[in-house]
Amino acid sequence: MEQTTKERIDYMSKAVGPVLTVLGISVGAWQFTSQMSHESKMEFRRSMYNKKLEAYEQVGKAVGDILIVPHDERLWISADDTLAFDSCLEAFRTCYWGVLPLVEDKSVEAAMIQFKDMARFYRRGENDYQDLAREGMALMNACNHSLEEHWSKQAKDQ
Amino acid sequence: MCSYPLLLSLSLLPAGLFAQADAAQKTVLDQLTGGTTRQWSIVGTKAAPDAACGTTDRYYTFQRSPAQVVVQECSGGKFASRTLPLTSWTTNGKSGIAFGGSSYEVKELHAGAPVCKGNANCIRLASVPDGKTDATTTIYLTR
Repeated sequence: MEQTTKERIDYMSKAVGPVLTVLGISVGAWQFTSQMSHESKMEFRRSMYNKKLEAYEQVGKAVGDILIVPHDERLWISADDTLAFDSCLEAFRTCYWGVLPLVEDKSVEAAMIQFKDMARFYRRGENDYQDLAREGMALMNACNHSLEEHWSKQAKDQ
Repeated sequence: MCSYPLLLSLSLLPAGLFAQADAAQKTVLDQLTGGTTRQWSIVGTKAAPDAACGTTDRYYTFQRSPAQVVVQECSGGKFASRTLPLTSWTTNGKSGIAFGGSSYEVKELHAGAPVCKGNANCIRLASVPDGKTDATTTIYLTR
């Protein structure tokens, strides 16, 4: 009788050992896979953040170029500045159509449209330099807010 | 004892801000309606409201109460009118009006602006991006 119990314990331990090993390997593999998936998600988010940052830097440069065209920040555009202004506005429009669709953000898009319109109004002598500068600042604030949002979303996911 | 004026100022602050926002809205609507009703036409409109018209001729009659706008558009050489409800809006320090499914910022332009063609009473309605389309519309009105 004693022999039988001992044999049973031996048999059980022989059977449980491999089961535990398989279970351990499975848990390890699952952990590894989920960690990899999380890492690749974070990597994607980081690369999107960098793309956004690059795009907004281009937008910032285009806005800055437009705003420095009028010499001495004159209130109304002068005839001497129109050619340079048009060229900078063209660069801004290229940025709008070429860069922004990649990092779509509704608030930045709306701010870009409003800045583009304001630049046109300034060019036509309907709005003054202060209005243009205000819209430029609003656009950069929208970019800044978009980056902050992206970063806080990333931090929350981590 | 000294905190009473401070408390009083703080309690009046929201009322002051509200009054300021309300005043801004009133100014836009007053400008368009003249207090009651005012008729505007697109810069360059030649035909009288009851005469034969050209394709680009258009009139806007803004009414304060009830708040509405009557748009008279030229169709087949005659003016056809439609009435749209008029509302006002304020967001992020900006204000304007809305009708016909679009929101507009209103700006009074100086007569020297080329688009006004010398008209002293000249305003611009610039539509605000709605997030659905990249296109914005600009309407230049005079009276």
